[in-house]
Parts: sequence; C-alpha cells; structure tokens
Amino acid sequence: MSTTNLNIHTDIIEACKAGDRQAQFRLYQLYSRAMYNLCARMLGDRTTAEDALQESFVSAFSKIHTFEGRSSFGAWIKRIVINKCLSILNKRKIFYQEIDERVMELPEESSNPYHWAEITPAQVHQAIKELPEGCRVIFTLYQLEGYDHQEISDILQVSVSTSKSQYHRAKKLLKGKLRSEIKTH
Amino acid sequence: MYQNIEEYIQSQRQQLDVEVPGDAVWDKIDQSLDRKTKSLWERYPLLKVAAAILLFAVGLAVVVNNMGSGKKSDIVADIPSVSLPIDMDQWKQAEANYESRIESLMQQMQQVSIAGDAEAMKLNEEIEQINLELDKQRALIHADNYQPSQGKRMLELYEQKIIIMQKMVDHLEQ
Repeated sequence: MSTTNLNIHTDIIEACKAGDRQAQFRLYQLYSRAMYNLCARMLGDRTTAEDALQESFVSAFSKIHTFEGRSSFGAWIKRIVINKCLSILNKRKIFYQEIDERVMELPEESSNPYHWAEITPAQVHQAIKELPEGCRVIFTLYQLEGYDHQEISDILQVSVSTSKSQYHRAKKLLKGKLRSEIKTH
Repeated sequence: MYQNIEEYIQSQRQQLDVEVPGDAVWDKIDQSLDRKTKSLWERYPLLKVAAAILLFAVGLAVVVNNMGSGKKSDIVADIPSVSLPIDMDQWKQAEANYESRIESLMQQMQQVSIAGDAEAMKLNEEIEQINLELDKQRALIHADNYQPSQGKRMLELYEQKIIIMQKMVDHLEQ
C-alpha cells in the first residue's frame, strides 16, 4: 500500500473517531468486502456472515478511539471480525478432532498442474465454505489469514497437532471437491 | 502454473474474496450507530414530559413539606440528628457526627480539581470563612466553662458548612 493511501486512511479514521458517519461509510466500503468474505469462510452461511460483519463494524466504530495506529486498520478490524466469528462458533460447540482416519483414505491429488487452470477463485471460495466446520475454520485461519498452528492452537484452545491434522484434512477434502468440480464441467 | 492448492490460494488470494455483503448490512450498522449515539431524550421524546412532571412533583413535595413543618432542608436533614449538647461530652459527640459527614463530603470534592472554576472557587471561599469562624468558636469552648449557647453556635456553623459543601459537590458533579 502506498504512503498516500495510508494517509487517506488516517484521515478517514480520524473522522470516524469524531463520529463522522460519511467517513464510517467510507471505511466500511473499503473493508467490508474482505471482512465479509472472511466471515463467510469462517461461518459458512450468508446470513450469519452478514450478522457477524454488522456486529463487527458496529463494535469497531464504537471503540475506534482505542485504535492507535500501531498496526494497520485492516489488521485491527480483522482481529475484531475473527473474534466475532469465533464467538459465534463457540456457541455452536464445534469439536475439533485430532485425526479423522477416513480422510487418510482419500486419493492423493494428481500432480498434473493442468487441473488448476480450470479452477476459478469462486469455485475455491465455495469449496472452502462447504468444508466441515472444524477444519474449515482452521484452514481459513492458517491458509488465508496467515495464522500459524501455534496461534490457532491458542485461539481455538486445541492442541497444535489437532490444528495440523485438521488442516491436512481440510486440504484433502478441498482437493477432492475441486477435482469433482473439474470432472463435472 | 500451480503445483498445489496452497500455491493456487496464495497466488489468487485477493480474487478469492468473491462475495459482497448485502446493502442491508450497512443500513443495520447505520441504525445501530444511531441508537448508540442518540440520547435517551432523542429516542423517547415523551420521556422529557415525564421527567418534567416528575421533577415538578418532587419540587412541589419538597416545598410543601418545608412550608408545612418548617423543617430543615434535605441536606441538613441528612445529618444525623443531634440534640443541643448540654455538656462537653455531648458536644464532643455532636462534633464527631458533623466531622464524619464533612469528611465524606471532602472525599467527594477531592476527586475533582476546582482550578479555573469560578463558582467552585467562590464556594470554596465561603467554606474557608466558615472554617475560620468555627476555629474561633472552638477556641472559646473549654471543658470547665462549656456553655450550651456556644455549642448551638458551632452546630449552626457546621450546618452552614455542610450545605455549602453539598452545593460544591453538586456543582462539581455537573
């Protein structure tokens, strides 16, 4: 991101701190899409994802005066969004199993790189959303949001090995789903 | 070309954000922020009328109550009732009661700075004047020549002091 963009964001954030609704809307426009897709991948369905997005932004605007600019605004609001999603997921009482033997029986993906040219980002996004809840959350945090397994272990209160095994499970399931997508089309 | 799913995702990370939230989401955020920022008065206009009626009724009750019986003000009535001390022991007990009340008010006042606040400075001066008078009266009271009239004068000064201190607390709270 360029310095100019950073300055523009700082101005908007300062206006938001003063309660400027136009600035709040501008900030929402800048970050809502990325945050909504994060919610959708974490939670799996549109309605809950929109609710999480709404509550996250209300929460962010309510405590924006505490944002000191030590991190980027994107990182700050992402943390709020992830916390909101985790709070919703906690209510669902997901159980993260360490190993699912059935996953190990899935055939290995062909190493032929040709297949990937036929896959669209929309198909990958949809396939992630369709993963079982536990491994979907871990896959999203690790592969898309850049958390490592130790951090995921701390956040989700699971062991590092559970995080790793669920991640591998998600990866295999995802490959299977995408392979069938290619075959179908 | 990508060799695996990780490579694909890392390369296409931005393009994976394919969905857009519905327009209704911002409307709901807007409404929630409105609810948070609007005062109670703005949200419930009738509350103003109810508050005004309640205030009038309470005020009326206080006025009628004071007129009817010639009672002390609420602030003075809040002081533990002390009968006119007729000897030195009773006087000491009465003074301890007033000092306790004054100590409590002092604690409330000390939490806020009065620097630059003209009204608070004026009230503070009045308190200082009463303190001087209290010191003068206290010097006249001795165990061997205690006069109930001296105790009465002291109690009057204490009551005045408490009224002004309460005004100060109310003012600072605003």
